[in-house]
Amino acid sequence: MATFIFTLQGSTPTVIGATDRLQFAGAGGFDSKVTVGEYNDSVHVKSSADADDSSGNTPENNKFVSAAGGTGGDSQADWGDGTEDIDAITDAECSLKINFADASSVAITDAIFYAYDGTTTTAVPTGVTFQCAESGDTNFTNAEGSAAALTLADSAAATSHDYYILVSASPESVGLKSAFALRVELTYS
Amino acid sequence: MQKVRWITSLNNGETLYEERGNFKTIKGELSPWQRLLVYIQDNSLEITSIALTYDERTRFNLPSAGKSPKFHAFSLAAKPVSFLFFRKLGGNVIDGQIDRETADHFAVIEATYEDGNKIQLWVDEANGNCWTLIIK
Repeated sequence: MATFIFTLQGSTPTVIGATDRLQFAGAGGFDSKVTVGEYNDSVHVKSSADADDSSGNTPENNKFVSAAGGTGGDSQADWGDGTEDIDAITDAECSLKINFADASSVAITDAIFYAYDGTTTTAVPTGVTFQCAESGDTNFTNAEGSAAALTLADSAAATSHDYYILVSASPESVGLKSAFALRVELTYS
Repeated sequence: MQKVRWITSLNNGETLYEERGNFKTIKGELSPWQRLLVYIQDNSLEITSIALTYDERTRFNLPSAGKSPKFHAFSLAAKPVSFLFFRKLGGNVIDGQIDRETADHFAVIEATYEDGNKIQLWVDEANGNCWTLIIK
């Protein structure tokens, strides 16, 4: 049976469990707020009991800086060393790792990743601006709703496939954003 | 084990089934479909029809490229020029690890016509419900 495992990367990876949430937070760390119009300064895994599952794992934060302000129009982000072009990030520095595995060796095509409102996949998340990129990309994708999805690279036949993704989110208004989900879809055979 | 599996007929008269004979899932080896593609290429064969079966009971067929259908209406219909099988899996990241119960998981067969139009038939792994798509 095919499986997805989502991991928040850090000095120690934190697997995002079945009832956990990925939390975009401010500079104050777990449960701190992100200022309206700014992007996350930290990212965490929050359990169903509201505990910080990634505490002590030093999660890798990817903060969106610009869509095209870098060298040759590259997007820029800050992942702990100041502002850099995003094509300089390493796999290990990306916040999110998605592993797809199957018992047999399968090829993957047409993989996409996007944010939506948690109900209708074509709808944009409510009150959140979401940016993402796959490791190696030169520019962020404003992947809100399935029509604007980030396209992930095809992968040749193997039993395990890893995707490394930069993710960054910004509130458009004050308050908790619950109509906001991230989704991945792929084709395998 | 998948509930929805492919069945395909080849132009040498063989009908092959996922999870039977040489096309069983073998841990760590190419998937049954990938091994079918290798078999077809190695023997210069072509797929003439493809179907999906749910729980080995219900069968979902796409139009065939066969030349001798029983009903006249089928012989008049346009014939696909190629066939494809794949699985589609989708799920929410923020809902954490996705398992059989929470993922959207479909098996899909596709027929392509000479003009490039395609028919896809999607069967839900969870319940056997079926949808069709026409792609231009």
